Amino acid sequence: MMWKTGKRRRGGSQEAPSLAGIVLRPEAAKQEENRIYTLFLKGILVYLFVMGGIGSFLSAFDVEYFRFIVNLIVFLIAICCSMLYYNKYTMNIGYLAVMALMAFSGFLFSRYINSGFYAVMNEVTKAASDFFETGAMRNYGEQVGNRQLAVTISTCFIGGVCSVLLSIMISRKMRHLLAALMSFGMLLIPVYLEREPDGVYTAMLFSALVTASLFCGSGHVRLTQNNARYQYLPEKKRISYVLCVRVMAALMAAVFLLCLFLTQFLPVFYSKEKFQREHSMSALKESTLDTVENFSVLGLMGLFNFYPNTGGMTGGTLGGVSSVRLDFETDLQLEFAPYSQERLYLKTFTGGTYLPYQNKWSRLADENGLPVLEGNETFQGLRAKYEENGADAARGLIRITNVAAPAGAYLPYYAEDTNRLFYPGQTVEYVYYPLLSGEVLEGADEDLPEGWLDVPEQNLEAVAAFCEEAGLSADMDASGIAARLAAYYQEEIPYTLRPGMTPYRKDFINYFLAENRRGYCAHFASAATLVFRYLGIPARYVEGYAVDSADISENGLLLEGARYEDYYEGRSLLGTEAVVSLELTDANAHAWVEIYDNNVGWVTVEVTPASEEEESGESLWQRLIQFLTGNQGEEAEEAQDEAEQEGDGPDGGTGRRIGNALWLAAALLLPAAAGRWIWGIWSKRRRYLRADRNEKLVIRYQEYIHKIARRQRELTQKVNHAEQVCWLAEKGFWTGDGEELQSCITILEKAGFSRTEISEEEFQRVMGHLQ
Amino acid sequence: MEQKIKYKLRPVRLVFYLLFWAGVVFLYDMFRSYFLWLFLLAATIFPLLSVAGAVYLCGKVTPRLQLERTRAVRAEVVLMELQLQNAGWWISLNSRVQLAVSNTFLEHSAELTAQLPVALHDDTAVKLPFQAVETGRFVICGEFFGIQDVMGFLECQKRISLSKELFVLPRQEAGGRTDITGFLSGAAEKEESAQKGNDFAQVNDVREYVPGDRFRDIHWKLSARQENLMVKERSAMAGSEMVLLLKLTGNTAQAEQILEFAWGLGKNFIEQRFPVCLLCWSQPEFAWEEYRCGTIQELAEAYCGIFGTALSERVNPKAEEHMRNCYPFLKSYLAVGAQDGSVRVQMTEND
Repeated sequence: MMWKTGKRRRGGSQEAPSLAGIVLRPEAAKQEENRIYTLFLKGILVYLFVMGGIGSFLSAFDVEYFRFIVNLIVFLIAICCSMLYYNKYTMNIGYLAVMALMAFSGFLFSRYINSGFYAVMNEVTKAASDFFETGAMRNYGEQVGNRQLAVTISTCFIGGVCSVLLSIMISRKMRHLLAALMSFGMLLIPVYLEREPDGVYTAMLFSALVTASLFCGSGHVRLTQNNARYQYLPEKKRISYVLCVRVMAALMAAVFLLCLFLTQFLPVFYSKEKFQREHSMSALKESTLDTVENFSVLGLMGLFNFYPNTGGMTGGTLGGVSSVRLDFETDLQLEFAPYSQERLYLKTFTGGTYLPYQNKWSRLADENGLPVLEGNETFQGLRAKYEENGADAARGLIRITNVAAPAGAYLPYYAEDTNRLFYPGQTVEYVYYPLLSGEVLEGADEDLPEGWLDVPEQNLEAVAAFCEEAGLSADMDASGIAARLAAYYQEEIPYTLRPGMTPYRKDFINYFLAENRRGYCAHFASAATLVFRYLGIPARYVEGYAVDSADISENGLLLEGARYEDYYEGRSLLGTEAVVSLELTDANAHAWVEIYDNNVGWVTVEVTPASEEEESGESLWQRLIQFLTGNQGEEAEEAQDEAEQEGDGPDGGTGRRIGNALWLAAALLLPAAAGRWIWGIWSKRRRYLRADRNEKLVIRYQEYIHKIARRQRELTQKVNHAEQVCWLAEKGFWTGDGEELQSCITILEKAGFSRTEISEEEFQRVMGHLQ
Repeated sequence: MEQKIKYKLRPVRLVFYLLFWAGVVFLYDMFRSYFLWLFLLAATIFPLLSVAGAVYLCGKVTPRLQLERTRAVRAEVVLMELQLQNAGWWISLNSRVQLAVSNTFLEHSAELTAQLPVALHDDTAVKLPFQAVETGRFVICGEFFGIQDVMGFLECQKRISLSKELFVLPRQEAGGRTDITGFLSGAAEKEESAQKGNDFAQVNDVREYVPGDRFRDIHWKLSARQENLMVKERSAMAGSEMVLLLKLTGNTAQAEQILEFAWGLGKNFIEQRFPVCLLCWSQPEFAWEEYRCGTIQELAEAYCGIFGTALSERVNPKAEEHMRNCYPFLKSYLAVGAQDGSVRVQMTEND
């Protein structure tokens, strides 16, 4: 039996406290636990943790290795590591030996270990690539041809290292949370990638975690030097068992069998496949996809966007945006008279030269350095035509208010003013001459500037390969190329608002065409521009806002009091319509291509495929906040409203809101409580460190008294040091003769009330009792 | 009769587990993984199994208490064994038996908790050697038994009635140095003077010898005449045994000293083949209790009898005044009591 009565006094004998005239004898009974059995059991627990974690991870990615060998070696290492705690000599020397052995084997098998590790990483990368549907993942070079052997050796080595670490956590103090964090933490990767681990390893991991937490929760796990089975705690008047191997073994076996049953037999009734069919991806996880993907491709840098974006419109700067996050706030407000079903473009940026690896389009500027949006040739032709014969031509007026868009021109095609920039809050009116279908303008190709056919050398290879792949050739005419390109994009390269950032030191267009093969309008338009140029058609990259007829019909408001004639004169493909007011958001932001038509001049070409994914501008944090507050976003609310209108009661929503409110409360309260607790500890610690010796003693003494007084209310009635010390001695908390106790009282009073500082010896004398 | 079981929740642990469970639910809801679904299932099933197991086990476990012996000498090591017999097929990592240890003679008590595991369909025992540092009658009672589920959410408690008794006698060497020669000669003189001329004054009857009778009671002259051993049966004690009167006080330390001293004295007399009669006051009976001892075993029995009544019931400062009335034929006795902070023995005339 272990005897716990605090520190042995200097020169004094340890006296056992009396219980109504009975004194329990520590030395009479020698009930000991078998240390070997105990360590063996803990070794098994370490093995379950290590192999459960590693096996689950590897099985989730279907990595091939020699399972029996790995299990055997990890088991032996785990048992050996646990056995190191046999006594202090084996522990100290043994750990050094284990470390040396690990270092030696690491050195000896470094090639296999590296190669095996890379093989596993490649499997993970492959799984991530499949999951994110991207080909942009890194690949690691494996040095050993026999992959199975390399993975086996690597796993043995990693298992050995983990066994050493977990043995430290488990064998002595059963720090199950740290162990669980180590084992379960890495399993979040396959879980995120929707890979499921093998049932047996899952059972091993579950049983290890459950058993360790049960042992830890019971408080009967700590291995003592004397292997005592029982200990006596005099201050609690309790005889408590230290640990019991028999019970531990039985519990471990029961838990393992239960976990095995759960993971092996439950799938018979409810299989993984059925589960996956019935469960779709959660909204919260969906909102993290782009972040995780960027992280997996780019590392830590992928967690940050390098510059803000407005619907992907970035003034020609490309590749720094991992995903387009729409805010659906009004950027521009238009007043105009619709004249056609065709898309209305408002352009604000025209890219001239593409700068490879800088991933940007240079802005087209005039000789004064001012941005040039469009040559005037087509405009002049259209105006002349309108002025000559107003019946076949038209003139329109559009009033644009910049609500929150970046400063720019937002110029409709074929307008008078080309160099104007206007800022948020300003309103501008443009007079434009619409290009109605079938028109031919004379002399439109006269002043075509040079450079519209330039394809940077660095992009040539990728563009050429792409043209070959897409079946595009210089023999085709512009409209044929545009149609073929748009069709190819639509079929082969998906549109997404989450294409991921372009990795460092990669070219935006090359990466898009050859590796990532997905993107939004800026990707398609940029690549298409170079494709057109490569095939001999002058082209340029344009950004701005696009307005579809659907936008007008769905969101346009009739502008009452406005006269149609003030906004539009001449031929209209829609007939005489009303004047409408329309708000454009960043969802209307767009990038497109202009090619030069010898008959008309610069005309727009639309190659961006239709989006099949639902656009959502909510960021991870916005979604998280919505989750916590029960506000599911506009779309979800609309869906819910519809459901309610169809007769589904709002009870589910109320329950969800209450649940979410509780979540929110817990999420706020727990960190606050934790913060308060940490602050309290830190403040106390700071106060103690800054205190002089007297104050330190007083602080420690007060803490000690308060600690005991929480359990023994009687102590609170003792108001001074003398009474308290006498009480402590009487109850067995302090031991010592009368002289010793009187001396302690004097020191405490000196520390508390005197200006003279107590000596180090006096301090230590009282601290001896307090500890 | 079916024992009533009380259930006591441990809310802190429960709340923390619920937070953990909520965390697992959150992870599952976020990742929608089969692995996490199994984990959530396990995290839901285990507490239920754990609690059900504890409830089941509470009716299956029987605590037992055993003492190595019922009588011991002060400071001697005695072994107590607490055993949990489990007839069920479940385990518990924490069970506790609340024991009450009381000295009924000196009238104080203390509580002791024994925390033990419950093994699967097996017995668990803890051996507790102890020393009694006081004399008296010790009663060790098991008052209630609590069993905790393996996850520690619930404790099932039931009352138990275990009781063991231990009489702790003074050490054999106590009072061993007291010289009794004076008392013996003094007693002889008194006896002799009292017997002059009236040899049969205190003889109540004469009968045949039966084994166990003391030699000094044999009537040798009459035996010689009748060819059978005849024994005098006396009405008073004087002349046949030493009367020791225990003047106990309410002070436990003094009372222990008096008892120890009397033990040593009585033992010396007995070893000198001189029987003693212990007189100890009993307040409930309002009379002197007599304990005749011719052997050490009888002396031990006498002490067990004395310890059977609480010390407070043995104290009456005026009790000695009743001696003359109670024992009119007793000429003298030895009074063992405390005086000036120490224990003294005094030959006292009963007049």
